[in-house]
Amino acid sequence: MSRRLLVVALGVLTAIGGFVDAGDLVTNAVVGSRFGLSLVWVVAVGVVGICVFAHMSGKVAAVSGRATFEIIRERLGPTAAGLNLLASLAVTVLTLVAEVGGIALALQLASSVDHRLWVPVAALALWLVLWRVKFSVMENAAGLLGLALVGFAVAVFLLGPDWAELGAQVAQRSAATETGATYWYFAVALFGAAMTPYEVFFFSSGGVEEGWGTKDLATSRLNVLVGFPLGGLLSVAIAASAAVVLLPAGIAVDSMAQLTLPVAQAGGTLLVAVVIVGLVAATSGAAIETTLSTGYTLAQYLGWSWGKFRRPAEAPRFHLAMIVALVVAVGVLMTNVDPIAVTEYSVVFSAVALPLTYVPILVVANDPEYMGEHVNGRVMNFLGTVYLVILVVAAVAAIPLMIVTEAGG
Amino acid sequence: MIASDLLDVRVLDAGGTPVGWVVDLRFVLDGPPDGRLAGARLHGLVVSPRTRSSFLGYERSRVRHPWPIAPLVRRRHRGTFLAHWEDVARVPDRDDGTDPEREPVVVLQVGYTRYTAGL
Amino acid sequence: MTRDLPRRLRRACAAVAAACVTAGALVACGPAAVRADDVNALRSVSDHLDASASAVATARLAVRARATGRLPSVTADATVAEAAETATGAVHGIGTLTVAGQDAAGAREKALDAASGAVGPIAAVRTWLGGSPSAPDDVLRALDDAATALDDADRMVRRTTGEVAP
Repeated sequence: MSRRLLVVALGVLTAIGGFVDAGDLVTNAVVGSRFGLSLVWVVAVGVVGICVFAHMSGKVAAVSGRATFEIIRERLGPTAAGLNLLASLAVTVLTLVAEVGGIALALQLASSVDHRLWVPVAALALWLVLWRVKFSVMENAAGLLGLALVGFAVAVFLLGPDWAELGAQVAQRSAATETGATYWYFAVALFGAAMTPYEVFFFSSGGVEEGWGTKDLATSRLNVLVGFPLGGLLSVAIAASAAVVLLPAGIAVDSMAQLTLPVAQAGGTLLVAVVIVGLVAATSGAAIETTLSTGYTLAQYLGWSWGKFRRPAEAPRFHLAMIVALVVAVGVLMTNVDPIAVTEYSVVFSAVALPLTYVPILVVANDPEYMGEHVNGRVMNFLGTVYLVILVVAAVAAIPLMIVTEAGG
Repeated sequence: MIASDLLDVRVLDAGGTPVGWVVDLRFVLDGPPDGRLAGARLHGLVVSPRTRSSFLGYERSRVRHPWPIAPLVRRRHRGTFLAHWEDVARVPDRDDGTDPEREPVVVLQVGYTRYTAGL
Repeated sequence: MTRDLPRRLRRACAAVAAACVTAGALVACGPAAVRADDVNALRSVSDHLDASASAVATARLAVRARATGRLPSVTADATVAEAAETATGAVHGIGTLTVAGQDAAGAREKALDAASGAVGPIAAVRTWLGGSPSAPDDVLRALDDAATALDDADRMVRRTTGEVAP
């Protein structure tokens, strides 16, 4: 019994630590430093959305014993699933570039070695982990260390902000120095960051990796419904720390290093060290997840054998796909592109790709032939449809807003 | 012949009037055992009158969710029928499509039967 | 392999690729194309001044935190290094803009001076971080002066564009 409890607790903790990735870190800090807490509602909308779709795909994996993407290909046919594959693969690789860049930036904070030098090292380390380390070990390690990001929440409390003023910011619909289009551009970016497509593919494939069955449905639901919202709170804490310290100082976040300034002011060297551990763990965990996701989606679409539960020799093309993805990521970062800019673009393009990746999950979760008695109920379908509308609006608005605001200017 | 020779191909009735496009193939597993499964036999073609886009699997069941995708797909595909393989008179030739004048087509027999496509 | 990918999928791939290229081209050309006239150019100057001021403020926070022993010196150095990159980027941005009118040119000149003047104090912070521990007063004063100059320049730019009353 206590062992069971331990497993559940571990799942929830890793969900919290695993929720935040480079996109969340950067976007929340940028938004907090420029708009205060006036965009917190977007994080809430995004968290509910990721809960809805992660729960659906986890259910598909647990009930059918197969990953979402295999079923999407089978159910929707090669054309529709192919579009889905292209969109999610492109966004996932872009996200991977952002994550590897994020690891490098975070390591720079602890070493003063330039982040460009860290990129190949980080990629090599990622590959070794993906090749050698057991799925559950790398998931739990990254998730638990990622919990160190709680340091941001601690920092907010230590800073002792004027809570009434922060509350007033939550109710605001704009910031004095920013235009309406910029506000909505960052709303879309924040939404894309919270709902990054790879999370759902990873969640369902991870369910297959860990051999979920119908009896694990309750655990899966708990992981999602407790872990993700608490992870969302971490996002809000990052935005709040930036809103309390950086916004009044006139600092608009454009580097990861600036995230440590509020933490330093609040908790000193020790808390900064804790947060840097969290930054490295969160970006590494997300880099592992995105790399795996590129392998999962490709292999599941093309019918290759896949999975960390197989030895690399038994799933060679799956591992090759991941190596190629890592090489692409290193190649892009070696062009001296700014990883923060890549991250900002990745969350916006995530928003563009959201309908293509999430709609098929909604379709499959409604198919009684796969789902049997666990087919979507009224409430899930209502939420699914509401989010369908939000996803389409965000996707359609993303590129025009990007052009009008010159990517947030 | 492979499945993609038939999929997406225009369907004509015996008089040459277009009746739609092949959107799916339906097989039955009643052939002689091939390994552990019975061999598959082509039972018929699913023909949709209005569109050659995918049915997204909605022909197989009476699922009406999620709104609005299911109703929209059903509307696009209303009038879809199953033509048995015995009712097919002609299938695309190997060199159809190489000549722009000769679009690959499936031609149905005179007096073919439209079966309901649902499962 | 390509044979069993349906034609529609291949066509869809081509369409998606074309859309990406178009979107990319739009994003790439966008900023350059709209900055044709002076007001737009000066708005862009103002954005660069904001970035520069943000870099100066970042360096100032880092110095304060380091001076009170709240920020590890490697982290402080990485932070200020990024700030220096932002500040030099702003100088580059202002320096490569062209303006036609006399007033606009004057405002641009002042902005360029202020932005260039901010790079030195930020670089000096890294020297201070690397040296033996000493009071940060001189470093902070230089940063404050840079911030004031940036502020003045920004006000002048905004006056020229008519954003704030003269």
